[in-house]
Amino acid sequence: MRTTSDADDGALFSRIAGGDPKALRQLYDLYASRALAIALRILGGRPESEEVVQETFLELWRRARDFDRSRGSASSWIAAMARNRAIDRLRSRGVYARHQTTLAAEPTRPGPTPLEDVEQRIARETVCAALAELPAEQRKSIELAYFEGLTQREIAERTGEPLGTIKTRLRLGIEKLSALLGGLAR
Amino acid sequence: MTCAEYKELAAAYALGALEPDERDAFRRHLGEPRHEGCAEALAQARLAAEAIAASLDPVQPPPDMWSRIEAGLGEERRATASPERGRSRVVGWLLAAAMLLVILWLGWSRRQVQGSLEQAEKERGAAAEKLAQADTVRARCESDLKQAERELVERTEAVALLGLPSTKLVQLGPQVPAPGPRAVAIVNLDQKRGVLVADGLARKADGDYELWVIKGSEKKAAGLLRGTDGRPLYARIDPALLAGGADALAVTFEPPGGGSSPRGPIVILGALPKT
Repeated sequence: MRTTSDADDGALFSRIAGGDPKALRQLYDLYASRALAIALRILGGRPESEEVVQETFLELWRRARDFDRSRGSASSWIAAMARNRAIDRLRSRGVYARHQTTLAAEPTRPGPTPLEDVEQRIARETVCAALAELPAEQRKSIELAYFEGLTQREIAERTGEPLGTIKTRLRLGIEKLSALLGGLAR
Repeated sequence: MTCAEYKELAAAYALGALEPDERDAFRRHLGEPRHEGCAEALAQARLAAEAIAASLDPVQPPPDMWSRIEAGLGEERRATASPERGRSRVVGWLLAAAMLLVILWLGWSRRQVQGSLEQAEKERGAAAEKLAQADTVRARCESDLKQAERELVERTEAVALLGLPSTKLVQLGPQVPAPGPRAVAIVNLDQKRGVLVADGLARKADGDYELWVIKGSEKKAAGLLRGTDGRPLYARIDPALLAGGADALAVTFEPPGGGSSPRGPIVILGALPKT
């Protein structure tokens, strides 16, 4: 999977806003596999996850004018859209019937897939390595927030830990992740 | 909320883990006039949170997914057009009903029924016109609000930079005859942060202004600038573009949407100080 430069992102979104479906297809080729991975991780089921990806790209079609590259890359925006839609569906199930997965299992050097090019694979392995460095309880709290859409209070209720502990874990976890990603990137 | 409290909550905000009232207070804090590293803390937390998605193996969509999306695009287009068609259908039913009335009442008062029809048509036209005007006003308000939010963030960053001892102000020269555009860059190369404050960049329909960070012979695109008529424009410079050092800033006028390398005329240019 290739990524685009900021300037390319802006040009693609301008074309989409002007009604050019070929530009949307270009974004789809670049980012649909990542969006599907996020939805699958959150929802677990393939049909529902594919619906999330479809809805995400249709939303992109409608909201292309809102894209502001000074506030983040196309990749981040699309990932956030897919995540938000998947979390909404998860919450709409009423009870959090969430599949139990952990980040602890993820950072164990997953093998390359034909979809990824070298740059993308390096980025993924960098993040996996950084996540593997986090203490398990910090990683678990981050996972519950990011992949299950739980608030700090809900995480505390789920885990039975004090709210203050959860707040500290999220803050320290993200700070350490940020430092590790900066260090690994250098 | 103090700056220290804000920074404590930045990670939870970036992960979407704040309660609604906490989230609202967090967003309001950025409107405060003075900050101690709040924007940086949020940016760092966001980058880390966004990176989590990159840990996942990509999953290839099924071959028919794009065709499903294309079908959805068709429905979107039809939906966009449907209000008009919906109104046409309503008018059709009204006309059919009116015709029936005309037939039934023809012998009694044909002229009276026709008068009522004309009045109904006028009222429908007036209502449709008001609806269109309201839509236009709403869209303009939303656009203005979004623009104001962006400007607030840029201004906050400019104020924060001005409070740092190693920040420098750089006058950028106009490249077109007076009274042309002019600009000041507020830059702190130690922290790789900068904000461009420009004045006199008039709105133009045939293109966009684009900011460039120049290092040696390399010109890196730093974002499109929307012309503002009579108001100063604030544009934050991407820290990543300043990370490798920068010799100068320039603003060019490019075709709509800009590009990855400058092609249009230079309207503002100025050298940055050496660190």
